[in-house]
Amino acid sequence: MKMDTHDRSGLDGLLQAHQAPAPRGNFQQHVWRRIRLRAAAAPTYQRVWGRMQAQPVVAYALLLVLVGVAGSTLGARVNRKDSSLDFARRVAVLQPPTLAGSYLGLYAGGSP
Amino acid sequence: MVQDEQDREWLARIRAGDDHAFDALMDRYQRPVLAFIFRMVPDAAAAEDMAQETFVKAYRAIQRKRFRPTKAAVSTWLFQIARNVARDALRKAKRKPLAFFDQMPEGSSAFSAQDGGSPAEHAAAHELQQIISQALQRLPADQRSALILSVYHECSQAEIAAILRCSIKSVESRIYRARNKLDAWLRPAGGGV
Repeated sequence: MKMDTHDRSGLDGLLQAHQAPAPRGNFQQHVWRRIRLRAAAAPTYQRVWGRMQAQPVVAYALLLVLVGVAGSTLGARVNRKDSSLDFARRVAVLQPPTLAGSYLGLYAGGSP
Repeated sequence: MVQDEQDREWLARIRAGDDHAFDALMDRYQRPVLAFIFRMVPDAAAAEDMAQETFVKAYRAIQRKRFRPTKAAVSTWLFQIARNVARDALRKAKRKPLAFFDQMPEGSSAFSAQDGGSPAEHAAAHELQQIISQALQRLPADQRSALILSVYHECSQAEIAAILRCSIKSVESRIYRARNKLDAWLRPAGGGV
């Protein structure tokens, strides 16, 4: 094969001698296997997220339950804090010059 | 254009869960995608692995809720993924692309006995293939990918610019430089073969 190196078509002709292999017969099966493996190996949160996207009704129901649980937990915390507010008021009265004491007093609803 | 319309229809069907449409898409593009990657990374086994990875990524992208089909042709989009997969593999290897030749087993060449011809012709063709492969690998990756898409896949400069995410001017410049370098490097091979 002779080639005129200044001829673009000559270079193209030479490059065409570079052949690429054909895909193997089971190429597609390998791709599908990989896709299924990836889907199975996806982190739990991704799978849950995927389900939620697929079934919005279930997602909304879950969200309502979560909000309910969070609300009741928060309510219980606030109730427990009542006694700690009394403590804060006492601290604020005892230590009026400090900023923290002032803040705590104000927070508790009384003047330091 | 007709082909691209059909590709887009397949994308819609794949999104709807039609696996046969994805098989059809693979049927159409597995050969060009593999050929492109093989010329970027001249190891048949690694190239096949990366070509499969390209389709896995494409499938997962199509299944994503926020997937929006590209304005460019589907083939352009697939070549973009293939190019990214090959580039990431080369980065991960953290060595010069030529190192692929060192681990290239005899059977991994694109040439085989099925090509016919005498043993001498076969050997000459194999040698020429190796010379061109090595010359391609000496090119910087951006020039190599532009040249491969231009010469082997007959992509327009606009398509190449879309695949490589650069300007058409840049594509012109990359192909011009790549051609000049190959001209110089392959001159002895071309004259001798």
